[in-house]
Amino acid sequence: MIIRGMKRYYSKFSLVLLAAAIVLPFASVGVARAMETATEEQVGKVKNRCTQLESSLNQLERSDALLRNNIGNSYLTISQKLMVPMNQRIAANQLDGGKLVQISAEYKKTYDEEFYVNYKNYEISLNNTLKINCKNEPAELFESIAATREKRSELYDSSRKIITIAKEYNSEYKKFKTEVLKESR
Amino acid sequence: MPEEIPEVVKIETVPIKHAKDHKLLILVFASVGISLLMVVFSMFLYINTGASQLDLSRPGYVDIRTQNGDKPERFDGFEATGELNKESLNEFSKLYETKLKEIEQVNAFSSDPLSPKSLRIE
Repeated sequence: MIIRGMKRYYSKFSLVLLAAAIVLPFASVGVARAMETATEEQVGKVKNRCTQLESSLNQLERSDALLRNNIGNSYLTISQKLMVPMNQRIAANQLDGGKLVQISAEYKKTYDEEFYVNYKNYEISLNNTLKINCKNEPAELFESIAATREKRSELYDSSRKIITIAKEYNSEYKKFKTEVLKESR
Repeated sequence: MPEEIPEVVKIETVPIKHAKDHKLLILVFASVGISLLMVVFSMFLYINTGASQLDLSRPGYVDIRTQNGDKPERFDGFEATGELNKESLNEFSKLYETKLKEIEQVNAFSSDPLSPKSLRIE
């Protein structure tokens, strides 16, 4: 009796799992829509420049993928190969580097929660824009481009924020260095 | 009256097919089912964690992969162990400022290639 009940439970559970596995990948992928609407003239221009537009968007997607890869590596290098080892060395030498630790944590947080996420959103939005049929849905394409542009701007902001924090770490490090050198004299 | 001979009823055993008899088939289908589930789940993770966006091994990124492979510059970074003296502090300054300059120069995603003006659809 108990075994039969368990079997029923497991078969229901596996059905739910199967349904979730099929549905979930599609759940978060939706075409980004902006509130910006296209004028008649703009719709006409989109229709006329259809091929060029598709080519430009494709090229942009590819060049941004490369840029993201390279710049992402540089951002991570600063955190993993410079900030973290320096903080560790400061701690090992029993010096006060509290402010530097705090800035490096903020840097890592900005990378993970803003830059990484914003690039993901931008890429999804650009991808969805590329899926829109230029000839049949020019107005939708225009709106989607506007939405993607917004996402790219957010990505740029997070990139700027990372640079600002990296500079902040540098100026704090300079203060720290002056202090250490003063004490060692 | 001849004696009636009782009819002998012959009962034949009909083999009942149990799941036990199809162990191999069940094993094969279960394995295929589980592996399909795992593939769908891993694809879900691949797409939703953002790994797919960073994956330059996707089809259509061959030329980009080649460009990326042009400069495999090795950067060892700063040693996490050792003394903190004038020399090591200066070494860190040098390394850090080089990397900082690099990211500042790139100024990633600063241009506006998606503006109606750039796309000539204004």
